[in-house]
Parts: sequence; structure tokens; C-alpha cells
Amino acid sequence: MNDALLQASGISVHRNGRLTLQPTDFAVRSRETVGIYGPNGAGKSTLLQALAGLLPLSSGTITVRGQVLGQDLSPFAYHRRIAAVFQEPLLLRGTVLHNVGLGLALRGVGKPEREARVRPVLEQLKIADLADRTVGMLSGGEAQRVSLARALVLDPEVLFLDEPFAALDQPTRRRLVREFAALLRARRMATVFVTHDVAEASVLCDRCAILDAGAILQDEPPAQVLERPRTQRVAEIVGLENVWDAEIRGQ
Amino acid sequence: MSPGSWDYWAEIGQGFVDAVLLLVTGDPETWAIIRQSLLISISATLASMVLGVPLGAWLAHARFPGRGVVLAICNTGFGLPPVVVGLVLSILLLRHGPLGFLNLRFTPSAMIIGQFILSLPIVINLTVVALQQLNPKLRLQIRALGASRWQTLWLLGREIRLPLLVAYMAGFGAVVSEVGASQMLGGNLPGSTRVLTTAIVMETGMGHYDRAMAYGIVLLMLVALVVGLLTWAQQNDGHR
Repeated sequence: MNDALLQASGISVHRNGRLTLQPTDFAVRSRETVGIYGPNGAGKSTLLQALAGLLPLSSGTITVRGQVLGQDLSPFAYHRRIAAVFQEPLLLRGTVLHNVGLGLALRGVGKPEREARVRPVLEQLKIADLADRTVGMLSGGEAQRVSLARALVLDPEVLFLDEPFAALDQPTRRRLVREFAALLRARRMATVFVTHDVAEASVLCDRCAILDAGAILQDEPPAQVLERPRTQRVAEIVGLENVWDAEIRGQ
Repeated sequence: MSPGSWDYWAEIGQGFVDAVLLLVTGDPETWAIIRQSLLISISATLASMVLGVPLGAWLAHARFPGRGVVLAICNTGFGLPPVVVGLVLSILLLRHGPLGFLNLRFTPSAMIIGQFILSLPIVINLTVVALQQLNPKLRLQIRALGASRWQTLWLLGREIRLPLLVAYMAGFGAVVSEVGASQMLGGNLPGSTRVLTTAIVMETGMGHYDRAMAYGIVLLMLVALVVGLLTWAQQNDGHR
């Protein structure tokens, strides 16, 4: 896959002496939203953090536009080209404006330009009226919007989302997923999206990797995975209930 | 003068009035002692912050054999007896001792070193605790935002600025009211190493209760100021 923006080859990760990600190949092309879906403890976050260069690899390489991470490209330089949003908003002290502009500030962007770039993103995420509020005063949904805005304003080459909607209540979550899906479609930036919600995956993703026990079982568009799960385990994981034993007696 | 007699209470009362007068009239000797006290203790605690905060930040995240022992030593440091610190430093600073060439005995510098040693474990310990109470994923998020090593340290420091203020105040409160090490290392020399605590001991011994009480009042006010600042900071931190 030479058109891959991000190519992981044979990457594996040990955590606390346990192999949490088995040697895995994974590619992200530009303008594509890839889902990572699986049960709890499948290694979804591990795969995402490994791809984002946030975890030491036990084996394998990650290539970003042909540059090998850790050799041709330092993790620090790589992090300046990506953005990540986690399940918790992980905001820092200060106002919404300060938080959303933080990535830009770290890159040395001056205050006037920062504000000029932050404001439109706040509008897009419908938190423009909260700009001057301190983050301790935000609701869970608002805080997660701030976290998403903080990532989007950087215009990252790859956006990593680790279950960003999982901690929200149902109505908030549904609304935010819908809005965010529209935003992603408009921007078309490469996105890696971890979720354990089939509906979210099918709304947001072009392709969905089914992960179980640290290994990818199937990696195809969500519709395909739902209609033609490759194994019984995949069917179980995506929640297909009408599975029958059958036998092929000829073609 | 029998205990509880009128004369006794009158004299104590007079002492209190004189103490207030000494303070408000700007008595040069009193103010010299206050100045030295502040100068020495503020320098010592600032120095312990400069070394203790980075050390604490490192200890909070480093994983190496013996880390538990180092943390235990820092915990022990909370109860480090000032007289023992004074004793050990005094021996080291003796003219023929290993640090004798520094010629620091009975100087404010010797007192600053002693107080620095006393407040360092407090600062390290409170820094470690503060950093460990942060969400561990915050570090990951800050790195993912593209922060350099120094930017990461700066942002984490900003997150724990209140606990850092507490650490500073706790260190300052401990050393400004400490008498053992200051007496042994400074020697209570007027205009130089005479500080509030050593002066209180001396004046009480000499029966100058008015002066002793004046210094006691200042010491209490300093502690009240520290507590007041902390309370204010905590109250204003609620909104983040």
C-alpha cells in the first residue's frame, strides 16, 4: 500500500510484561476515517496510542509518508503533525480559548493569529459563547467539544480519537456524533477512531478494523463487516445475533 | 511576686504593650531581626524549590530500583530534627572539617544551608504527591499536543501551581519557626544571624519579655499570613 499516509508494519506492544498488541499491519490513507472496533480489553487504545507514537513499540515500524518514525522522523516532530482526543477531555487550567489555542501556542503561534484560528473552530463546534469560560465550569459534553476543537484547530495530518464520545450521556452523545460526522466529512482529514459502539462506527468510518485479543480479525467497510463477518467471533463482536450453524454441500 | 498576683499580670500586660510599641515605632533592632529572618528563610525555601520541584517531578515518573527508598528518605525528611541537621552541618563546617575551608560557621549562609536541607524533603514530597494526583493520561495528551520536554514540564507545573504554593509555604513555615539549627549554625549574632526564633530564646532567657513577645507576635503574624495566603489560594482555585 504505497498510497498510505500512515503505515504500520508488524507493530506489537507489551504492557506490564503482557503482549497487548500482537504483530499487526495497519494502514491509514489520506482523507480516510478508519474505525478500530472491539470489546473491552481488545487492545484498541493500545493500537491507537502506538499509531500516534505515544507508546514504545516492542517490534515493527511505523512509516509516515515514507519516513520511518524514530529514524527519519522524531516522535516530537510527528506529534506536531497529528492530534489526539481521548475519552476524558483532559483539559488544562484556564479558559476554553486558552485550551483550544494550546497546541498552536506550543507551536509558537502568536496570540492574534491564535485567536483568529480558534474562533471559527469554536463556531463549528458550537462553543463560541463559552470562549472565556474557565474549563472547570463546563459540562461533560461541552468539555469534550473543547477537546475536539483543540485537536481540529491544529488541522492535523492524522486525527486520533480514542472513544471521545463514550463518557457522554446518550442524547449528548448522539447529537455530538452527528455533528462531528458532518464536520469530518467536510474536512476529510485522515482519522483513526476507536469505539465500542457499532452505530458510531457505521456513521463515522469508511473502514473498520475489528480487534480482538490484540489482533485484527477483519478490516473492511462497516457495511461489509456487518453483512459478511468473516468469522463467528467477528459476528459476535459486532453483535449479530442470528447466527446459525450451516454446512456447505456444494457450490 | 507570687504566681497569679496582680503585679505578675501587670508586668506581662506592660510587656505586651511595649511589644506593640516596638513594632509600630520601627525599632531598628526589632526590624533588623525581622529582616534577617525573612531574608534567610525565604532564600532557603526558594533554593529548595529550585532543586526540589524538578527532583520531585523526576521522582514522580522515573522508575528505577531503589525509588521506594528515596521516597521513604524524603518522607523521613518531613520529621528531620532541626537540631540534628544543625549538629551535622556544624561538624562539617568546623574549621578543620571537610567544609571548613568555606568559612561559613556563624554566617547567614550557614543558616540558609541548614534551612534549605530542612525544607527540601518537604518540597520534594509535596511535588511528588501533587504530580501523582494528576490524571496520568494528561501527560499523554500534552505530548500528543506537540509539547517539547520543557513545555511539558511547564504545563504540568502550571497544573499543580497550587500544591507548589502549598509546598513553598509549608517549607517556609517550617524553617522560619525553627530554632535548633538556626541557633547552632548562626550563633545568634546581632545584625547578622539573629532571627526571630533565636532572639525569642535569648530575650526570654534574659527576662526581656517585652522584646520576646514582640518577636513572638511577628512570628505568629508571619504564620497567619502563610495560612491566610493558602486559604485564599485554595478558595480562588475552585473555578480553575
